[in-house]
Amino acid sequence: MNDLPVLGFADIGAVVAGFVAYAVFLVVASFMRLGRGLAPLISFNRAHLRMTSLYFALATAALVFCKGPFRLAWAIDLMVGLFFYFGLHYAIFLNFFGMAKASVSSSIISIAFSKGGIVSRAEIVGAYAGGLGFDYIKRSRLERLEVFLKWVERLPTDSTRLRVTASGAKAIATTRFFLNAWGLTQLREKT
Amino acid sequence: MIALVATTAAVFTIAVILHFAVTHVVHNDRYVRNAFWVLIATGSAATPIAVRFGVMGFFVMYAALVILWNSYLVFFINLINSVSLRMVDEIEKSPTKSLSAEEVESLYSDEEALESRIQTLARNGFLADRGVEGLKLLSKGEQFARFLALIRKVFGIDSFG
Repeated sequence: MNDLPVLGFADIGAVVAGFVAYAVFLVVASFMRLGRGLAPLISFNRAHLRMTSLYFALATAALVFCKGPFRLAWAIDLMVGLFFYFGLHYAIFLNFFGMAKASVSSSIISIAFSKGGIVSRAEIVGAYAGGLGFDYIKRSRLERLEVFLKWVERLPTDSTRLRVTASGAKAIATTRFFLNAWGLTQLREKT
Repeated sequence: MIALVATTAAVFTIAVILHFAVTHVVHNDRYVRNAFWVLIATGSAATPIAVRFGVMGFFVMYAALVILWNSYLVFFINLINSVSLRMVDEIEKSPTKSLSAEEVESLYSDEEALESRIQTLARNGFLADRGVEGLKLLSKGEQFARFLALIRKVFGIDSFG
């Protein structure tokens, strides 16, 4: 005798709503060309967050249609559907978006493709980031560390030097903890 | 739904513990490939339980496991590969716990950053290093480039890098 509940379509209405809401988000993101500009990831994520209301509307409608009047037990269904709505974005699709926008390896492949499939190292360095060059990676990362993430700050006594902030120290401590626990090491590119 | 959530969480937790054990037993840098096989093994072992939730429950459970496992892997990939975290780490470990922007940038030469990516791409069959003749994009690289171009076209990504 099966002691686990067999789920029917009515039981996964909120999950389906999560998938449908995410599909609608992708269509909207495509029509609105959210990939434009220098910081499209921010626009992309902001739009996804704003369309959470669409998920809740669809999920509630699905639950009312399938299960009748609202009950508190629906909270679990709504949370599971929300998990899929956010999971599809952050765990799966955003990686492809980030790969197409910011990945160094993907950019190398795309530059090589644009030049007929054969490219020199000098051409890659020169063409990287629309001609800004490979050095752009380090400059943009330092700026992001200081301005957006606030993991580093200028010394009060010497504004040309950078030190780690409290939040940056926490980020490093967290990194070291997990990498040490799993026996992994950071890839080093030090000269 | 509660039973499904609890079962999915249990399977994911077991997979994480198994991957944790594998990384300590199998000392290589293929942690992503190891994680893939751990997921396959754990997911396969959980199939007899998953089918008891019915067809809908089966697919929901495995879709949730894929999302959870991807999140787990992306977390570690970001920790391992993040240049930003390495920069912060280098500043923290410096004798005066401070570095100038030029000193931070000098730690990561363009040449070595590029070379490590090229070697990884060559090792994974995306391109071939022909020495003085340059780098040649292989079939796998061409297909991937077309896939990237499609994503950029669909979402209007007008610059990359």
